[in-house]
Amino acid sequence: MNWLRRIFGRKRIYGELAEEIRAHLDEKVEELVAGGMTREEAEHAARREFGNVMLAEERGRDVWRWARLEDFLIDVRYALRMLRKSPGFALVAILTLALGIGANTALFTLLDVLVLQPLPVPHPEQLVRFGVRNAGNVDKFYVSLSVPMFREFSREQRVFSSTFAWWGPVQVAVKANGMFSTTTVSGVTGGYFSGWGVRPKLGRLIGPEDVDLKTGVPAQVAVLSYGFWQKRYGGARNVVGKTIEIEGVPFAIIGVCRRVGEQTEALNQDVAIPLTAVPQVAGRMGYADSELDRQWVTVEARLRSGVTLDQARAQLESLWPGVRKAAVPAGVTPVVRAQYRAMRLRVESGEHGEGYLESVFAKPVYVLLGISALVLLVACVNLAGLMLARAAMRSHEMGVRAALGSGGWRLARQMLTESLVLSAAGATIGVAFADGACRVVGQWAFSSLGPVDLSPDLRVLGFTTAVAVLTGVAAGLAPAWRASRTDPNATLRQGTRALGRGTGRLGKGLIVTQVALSLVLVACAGLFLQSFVKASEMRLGFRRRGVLQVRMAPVPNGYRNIRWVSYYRELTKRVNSLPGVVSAGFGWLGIGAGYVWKERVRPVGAVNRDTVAVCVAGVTPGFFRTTGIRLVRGRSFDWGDDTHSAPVVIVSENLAGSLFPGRNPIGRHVELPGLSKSQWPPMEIVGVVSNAHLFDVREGSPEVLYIPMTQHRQLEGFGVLYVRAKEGPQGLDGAIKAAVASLGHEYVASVSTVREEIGQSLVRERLTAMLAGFFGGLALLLAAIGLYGLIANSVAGRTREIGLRMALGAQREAIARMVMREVLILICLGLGIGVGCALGAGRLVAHMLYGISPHDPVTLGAAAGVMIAVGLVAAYLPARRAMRVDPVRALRNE
Amino acid sequence: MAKKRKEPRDLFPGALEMMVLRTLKWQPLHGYALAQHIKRQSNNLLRVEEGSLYPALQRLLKEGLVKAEWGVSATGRRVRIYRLTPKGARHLEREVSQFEQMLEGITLVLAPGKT
Repeated sequence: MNWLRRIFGRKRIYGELAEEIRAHLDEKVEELVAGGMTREEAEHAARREFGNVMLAEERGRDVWRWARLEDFLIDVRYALRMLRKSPGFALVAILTLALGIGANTALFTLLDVLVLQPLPVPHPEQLVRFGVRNAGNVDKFYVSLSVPMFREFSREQRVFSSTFAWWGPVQVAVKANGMFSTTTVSGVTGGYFSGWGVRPKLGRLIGPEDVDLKTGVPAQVAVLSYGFWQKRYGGARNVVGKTIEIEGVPFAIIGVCRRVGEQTEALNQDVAIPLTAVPQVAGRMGYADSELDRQWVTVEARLRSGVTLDQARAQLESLWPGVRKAAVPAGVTPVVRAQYRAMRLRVESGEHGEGYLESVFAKPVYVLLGISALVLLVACVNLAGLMLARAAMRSHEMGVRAALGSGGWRLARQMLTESLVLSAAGATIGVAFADGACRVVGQWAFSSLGPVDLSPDLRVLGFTTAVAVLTGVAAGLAPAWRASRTDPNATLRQGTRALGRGTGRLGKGLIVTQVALSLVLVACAGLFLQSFVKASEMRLGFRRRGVLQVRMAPVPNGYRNIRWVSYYRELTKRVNSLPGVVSAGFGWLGIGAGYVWKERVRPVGAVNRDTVAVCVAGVTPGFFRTTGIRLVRGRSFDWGDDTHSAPVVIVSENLAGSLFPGRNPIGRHVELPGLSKSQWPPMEIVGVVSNAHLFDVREGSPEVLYIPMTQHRQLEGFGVLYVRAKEGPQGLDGAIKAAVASLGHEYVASVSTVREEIGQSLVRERLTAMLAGFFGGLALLLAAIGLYGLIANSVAGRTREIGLRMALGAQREAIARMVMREVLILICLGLGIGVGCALGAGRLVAHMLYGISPHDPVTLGAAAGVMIAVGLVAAYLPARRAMRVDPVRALRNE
Repeated sequence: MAKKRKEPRDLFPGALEMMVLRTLKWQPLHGYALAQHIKRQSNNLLRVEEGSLYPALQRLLKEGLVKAEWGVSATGRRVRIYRLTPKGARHLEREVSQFEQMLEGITLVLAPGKT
């Protein structure tokens, strides 16, 4: 505590010291007076013998100081005083840094949340996710195993302390507490909850005794999530033992989970039931494969202590051939067998989950982080330039300080301290700015994707601090270097008499750097913006205006005794008859959703290698008319195409071209070799429709095989209703809901427009484009400020030179031209370097661009043009000032 | 101004501190009395500038070699009386023995003829 007393007691110590010295002098004087001196003489003598009172006091005080820290504080105080003296400079510098640091903090927060943060479960580092890419599954983020594979692996492996798996979560109709709603349900294995490390809040959770994968005998039990329990039961403690109905099948509630982080999709289900109970409800849910052995599950495992991920991977790989062999279901076609043989095992760390958000946004966030780092670099260069300019103005002060004995390091430290003070202030504002930005981005980009916690944590604050320090040092380096080389002699002597120097080589270098960096940013912004515009305005081949997409879910037991074909037909008829509706039709495909059923198709009788990869879409009569996909030849589907009639298909124009190049496809038959022949006999092509970018709108128009939903049991129950409205689609919701409800099978779960769906599917492009555009604009603004500052300073420094030139006969225009020419040369130099960098940067972001070359010359040219314009504007004001220099005044000032 | 600072100070760094500690070993004293005592003891041979006493005292205080308490002097004024701490006493012993060694060495070097 001594040091504490030292800090707070220092004032007292200093006071005591002063008092003591006073007492000493008094005593001396008294003694001398007693010895016969006059008081005046005695006082002089006492002082003489004592020496310098001030110095003695100061040295006494020095003993207690912490030299380094206090010198630093003095530097800081001095820096603050200097900044207060030039509030304009301080404001610009701090705002510049706040934007730069804030942008970096915001993006790092996104990165942190999406990629870096581990799952909110105990020991996330032990988690391993493994499985195979499901055949025909294009989703990049799902790896899964069939239940037999899971059983084999679980039995044979020796590297995990536990393995667990789940099916789902899926949206189904659940009746809880007397109310019925669409709820997410997962089927889980016995190790699921203990594997995640989730503990019960009430009762018990599903354990191994509830899930016997060998016999498949289901236990009719269910576990509620904390949120669902709160929402539907108001947190009532007597919930255990009550019954919950899932698709009409009763389950006994045995427990409630403790709250877990909401980001874990795997734990996002509202209700968990044993995996073995899934077949009971899956069929009713409309999930066709209700046989346990054919289900695909997501698998996760916990490493035994001391086992590494690589060891686990090695063991799983060694087990894989045997597991695969044992897991092929009996009686499948050779094609399915081949599919199994083609499967590859994937083993990944599950520490960070494998979230949808991450898979979609990680790449853009990395790229944007790079972009914002560049912006910060521009801000640094900017600040360095401004400080250099100020340093030039302060060269007299620096000279005086050097003459008074300040070392070079001391002066450099002063400049560094000033830039650190600026960056600290910038970081403080920047964090607030980032917090707001994250909120906005989160609401805007992720709102439809579930809850995302975007509040900054310690890691983010650490990052920001590091960035702020780095920024301060980077920005202060050039001025500090300049200051440390202050030659007092030259500065003071030269003083006011020299012609003055223009922007030094350092300043010129900064201008060039700034132009080059800004060009890269502006070019990137241009690329992303164009890419987004292209993607969102592309001709998709179908209507996006005025078409509603209506998703439906079953009422309890709604699918019992349903006759799908007549249901579809009746509902279509009723919706069609609503006022304001042009047409309606069902489709089983996600427009813009990015998920797709992929198959291989071939003309009947062709050999295997003639197959064509296609996307399959199930539709009903009315779909083409509703979505505006044109019939090119042949006929459309009609209600007569049902299970009793001969199977038919319609192909897209490009598919027709691939299957039967140059020939009329109508009347020819095709087959799907990947599916069982009994369920999928050869089908006759009855029509050809125009191409459409149905699935992922970023990928070119797919080759689509349209199948009548009315003809295939497997497609029943999946339809999404598309409704085309005469004018605006507004106000139709209610009528459509009533029409759906009137048939008693389903209710409307959500209504959106196709336009919205596509907009949502482009959220990544939109986010990237908006942020890149923002950063590009920011870079331009910074460049303008920086260039203006540097040029204005250079002109100010050359006032005398310009005055002399004018006195010697130079024309005003010539002076302005001289200034502009110098600036233009620097800008062009910067542009030359910048174009090279922009080409490199373009290659880095090429994979995120759509419909535009990363080296698009128009974009680059436009960016360069904008940079030149900004540079000229920034140079114009100083040039005009140079033009107005009054030679008499400039020279008289000497 | 910088040049004027080169006024005669301690004989060597630490000498004044040593003398202060030595003096305080006999009895607790306040600043003025300490200065007078050192002057008298050295027969006025050492010209100790009184002002330099105070920084030295502050150093000793900070090191914990002396303690200070406010009291009343013989002439009845409020003064700070310094007292040697046990740590100060140990420090003094060490310093003195080191100093004597050094002195011995210097003496030997300065008077080579005697050996």
